[in-house]
Amino acid sequence: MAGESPGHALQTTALVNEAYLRLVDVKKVSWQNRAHFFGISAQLMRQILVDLGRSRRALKRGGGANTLSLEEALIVSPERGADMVALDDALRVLTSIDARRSRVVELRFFGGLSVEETAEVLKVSPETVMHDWKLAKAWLLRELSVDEAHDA
Amino acid sequence: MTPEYWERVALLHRAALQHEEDRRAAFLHDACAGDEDLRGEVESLLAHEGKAESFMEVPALEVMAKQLAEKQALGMVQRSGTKLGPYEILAPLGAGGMGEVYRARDSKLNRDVALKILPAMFTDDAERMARFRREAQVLASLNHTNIGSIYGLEDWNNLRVLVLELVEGPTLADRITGGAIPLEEVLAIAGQIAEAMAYAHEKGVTHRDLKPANIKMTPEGNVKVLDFGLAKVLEGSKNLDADPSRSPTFSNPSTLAGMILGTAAYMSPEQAKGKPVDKRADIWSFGVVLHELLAGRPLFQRETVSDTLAAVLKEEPDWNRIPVKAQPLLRHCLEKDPKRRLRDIGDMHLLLETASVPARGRRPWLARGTMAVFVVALGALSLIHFRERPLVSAPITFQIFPSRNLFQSTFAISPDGHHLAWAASDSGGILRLWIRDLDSLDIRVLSNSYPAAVKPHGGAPPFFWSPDSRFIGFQSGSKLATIEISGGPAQTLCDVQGTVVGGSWDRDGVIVFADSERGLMQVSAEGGAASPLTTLDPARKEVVHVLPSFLPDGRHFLYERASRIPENSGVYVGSINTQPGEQNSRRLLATTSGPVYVPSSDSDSGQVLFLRQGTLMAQPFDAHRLQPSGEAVPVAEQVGSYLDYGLFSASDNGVLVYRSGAGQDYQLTWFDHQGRVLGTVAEPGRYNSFALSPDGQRVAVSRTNPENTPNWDVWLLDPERNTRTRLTYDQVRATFPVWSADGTSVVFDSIRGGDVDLYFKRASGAGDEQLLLKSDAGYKFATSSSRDGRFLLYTVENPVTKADLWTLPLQGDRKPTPFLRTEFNESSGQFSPDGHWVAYTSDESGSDEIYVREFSSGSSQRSGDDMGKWLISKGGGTFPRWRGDGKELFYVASGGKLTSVDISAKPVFAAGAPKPLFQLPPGFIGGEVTTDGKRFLVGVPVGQSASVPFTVVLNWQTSLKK
Repeated sequence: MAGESPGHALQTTALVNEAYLRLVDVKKVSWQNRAHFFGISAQLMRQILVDLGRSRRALKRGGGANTLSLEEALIVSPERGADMVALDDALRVLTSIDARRSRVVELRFFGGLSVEETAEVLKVSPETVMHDWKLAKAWLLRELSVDEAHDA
Repeated sequence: MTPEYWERVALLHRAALQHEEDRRAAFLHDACAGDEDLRGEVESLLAHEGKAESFMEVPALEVMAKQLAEKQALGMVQRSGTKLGPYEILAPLGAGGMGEVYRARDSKLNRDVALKILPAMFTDDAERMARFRREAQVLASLNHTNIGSIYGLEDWNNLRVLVLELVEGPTLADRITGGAIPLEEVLAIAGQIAEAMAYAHEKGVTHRDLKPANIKMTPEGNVKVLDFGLAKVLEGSKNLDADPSRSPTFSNPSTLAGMILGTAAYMSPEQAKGKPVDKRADIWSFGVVLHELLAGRPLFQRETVSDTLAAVLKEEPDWNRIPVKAQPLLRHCLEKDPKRRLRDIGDMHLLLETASVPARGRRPWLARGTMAVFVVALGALSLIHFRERPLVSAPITFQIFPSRNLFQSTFAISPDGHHLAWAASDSGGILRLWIRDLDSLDIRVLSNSYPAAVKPHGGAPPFFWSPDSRFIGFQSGSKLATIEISGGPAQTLCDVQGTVVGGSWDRDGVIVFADSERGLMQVSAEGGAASPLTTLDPARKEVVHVLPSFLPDGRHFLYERASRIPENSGVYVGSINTQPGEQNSRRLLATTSGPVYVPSSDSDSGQVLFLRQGTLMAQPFDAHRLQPSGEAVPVAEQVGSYLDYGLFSASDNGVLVYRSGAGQDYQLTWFDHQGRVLGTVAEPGRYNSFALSPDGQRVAVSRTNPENTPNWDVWLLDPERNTRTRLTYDQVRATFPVWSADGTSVVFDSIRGGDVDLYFKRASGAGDEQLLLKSDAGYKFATSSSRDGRFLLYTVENPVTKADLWTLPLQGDRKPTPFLRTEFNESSGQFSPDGHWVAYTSDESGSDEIYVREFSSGSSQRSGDDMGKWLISKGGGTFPRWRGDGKELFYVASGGKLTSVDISAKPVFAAGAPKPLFQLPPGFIGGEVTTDGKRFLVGVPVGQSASVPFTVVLNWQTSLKK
């Protein structure tokens, strides 16, 4: 990701800029329609955020002697959070059995699209998107909980 | 799971959701018609429905953006020197359970404080923040000598920061590693903790996270309890997921850790069960701490958190380990049922036999004065560490800040772990050896040490300890010497030819040391002739053998060979009983940062410590079979290196010391004759060499930018236009730039072809990098172009004749010719402006001096030919540079003073007496002078080198059982 020199504001705008720059790099793409554009930007956003997640993971290794292990964090704290990389992995598995629902997740979560916009892109009804979304989330949540139980 | 099956699951899932919750089970039972797997699958997905509601509802972008903003702010905090309001960040103090802590300087009140960065997730809710502020005010009102104070709460750049009293000294956790502590002493400590608790409880504040790591002992003997009440105050953030629109889908694990209340081992049973807690939870924790102090071992800590909590809930402490006098007190503190537990810590004295403790009103602990004597007598934590066996299973880390004038130097901890020695230049540029005894605050200088000519980078080569931790072996001039750390003159052992890059001393009085010119040598610790153990193998393109480290058998040792062929560089094993040509040439480990062998308790195996790109790794090593065994594991991150070796050292008893190195940045600075700073060129950068263009307008630098390009590249800086242009784009190193006489090209050395050769490129950037000179002669770098553009002077490093001066005609047959090739080191050749003379550095006298010889094109000088050679410097000199009219020669005298000598060439060559001008800053690099001889460009080190602490880890090997 872009460097962290003081003054470099890594906020939503900057991330979008990064996505835009990557989009611009993809020359000779004609934006046939909104759907196409949103589809690609959601994918890029996912890529960027997962890459960021991977590099942060690398930095977290080798904590000092006084920090609690992840296991301790998981058991004693009521919170558990999946991280971006684990989600990406789980999403890939979902894609192999259900490409459309995986796409819904990508568009909604990474692309930030509303239910209606997602319905437009995928050319299905909003009700279908709603259910797709529910099912996919349940599946991912279950998948990620199993992962954490294994790591812990 | 096939797509078809999945679609069936999906259909059923959708249909089930259309039924009411209590009807779903029945619906599924019917719809699945006996297919239990199908039903199970759908039900399990439905089970996640509730939690799934809020999952991923906040788009990734928003969550990430917030985290990135926090991370960015944290990143700024982590750079020491950052200012947070009136506080200047000095160094990190560690990451505790509730956020990261930094040492900072309060510039208004002129004192050091501790800054605790609060988890950001926590701080978004206005109502929660208001509550936090109220509670923080209560905590800040706690004013007691045994409680660490809260000074304030700062808002800074997306972060909330708590300003706390900085308490120096070890924690009780450090104290416990030493073993059981006598009752009197424990009671003295306990008394103070109890006073703190009584005071806070009376004010309605419960600690809730009392544990040895939170209890500090100052050097004066005061016990201070830290983080009182913070656990509860920060706890509010736990309930975030109750509000689905704000749930942190992807929490930062460090934030997670921050929400945890208490380390499991000190948690009261009611806390472990998740029930509400009151001050009696503190009494429990207090009991656990006391038990551990008295028994000298952990009480409830087990392998895993779940086991630990189970022990807290179910196991009875072993009362046999506790002196009888303390048992009633501890039994009452460690009552699992809070209703039956000691309620008021003030009643503590009632439970102690009065005979052991003098009564003094309501709280008869030992008078604080006695306590102070006690603790001072005991000294700091290192003394505690050196009891027989460390009993706690976790490593303990703390930091030592050396004196401020430390610069980029090497250090080594004694084998017994008691003394840390390092080499540092003081403000006078003199390199000395400093010693710090870890069991006191004493730092002293060894008076007879390192009289060395200031080398580039101002650092010292590694030194080594005797096995009894009484002597240090090091290089002094061209000799290997030893010195007793308790004082006394240095004893010379033998001569050395190059630089001593490390040594190792075994119990039988044999020393193996690395002589950069010869290979590894062996000498007796009594002195005498050194005999070779290894020689550089030219067929394997070996450059140097360094950093030997004895194995327990006292015969074999590990060492590092560096070769121009990467596959040949790494760790090898050698033997003192083997001839140089027959040493084992099978590489054991691929690393180029210097291996250190550390024995573990069983003498057949140990670990080899080495650096892999900034991470310190421990490779288990079978000392009996002389080979690595198993996987290397990381031990510490961000460990620095200096030139080719890592900044780490280990004792024989589990003490590891390392320093972070972010690398050294330099600021190119202009000085006048008096040493006043006239200006700078560009921003500071990671440079290793630079050259001023003939017209004085541009500077060619070799620099690296660690974030983007790990390699060194040549860049051109134009101070006038304030531009910085990259010149070389190769994937390999380009260093030591030299301008052509007409200023249109830059020559540099590179190892693209596998050998170090000279290349050049047009300064305009046009065209590619072109080969100027390729030869097998070895490592070479250019030093000077003659003004008429006909010749290039360059230095070649050769295993036999060492460093030599060669010339390359830039026209005609371009056949390189040796200019001065002797068994001594000649380098830094510089053409005089009229091209008739060459000034250079040679160590033929035993140390570096500046000489001038005549240059007539096409002729070689013979070493025996003393006609036509003039000695310019007195008492040491390097870096010769001519003034533009050839009438003055500048150089750096040993000790670091820039010195000038008047030269007259007609009718005969004569040099005047050296005139010192000004002291160069320690650790400087480079050195160029303008044509008029009035200004000097020097690379001055900048950055945190002086305030980067030593990190000391006790029992570091216990973290390896993973």
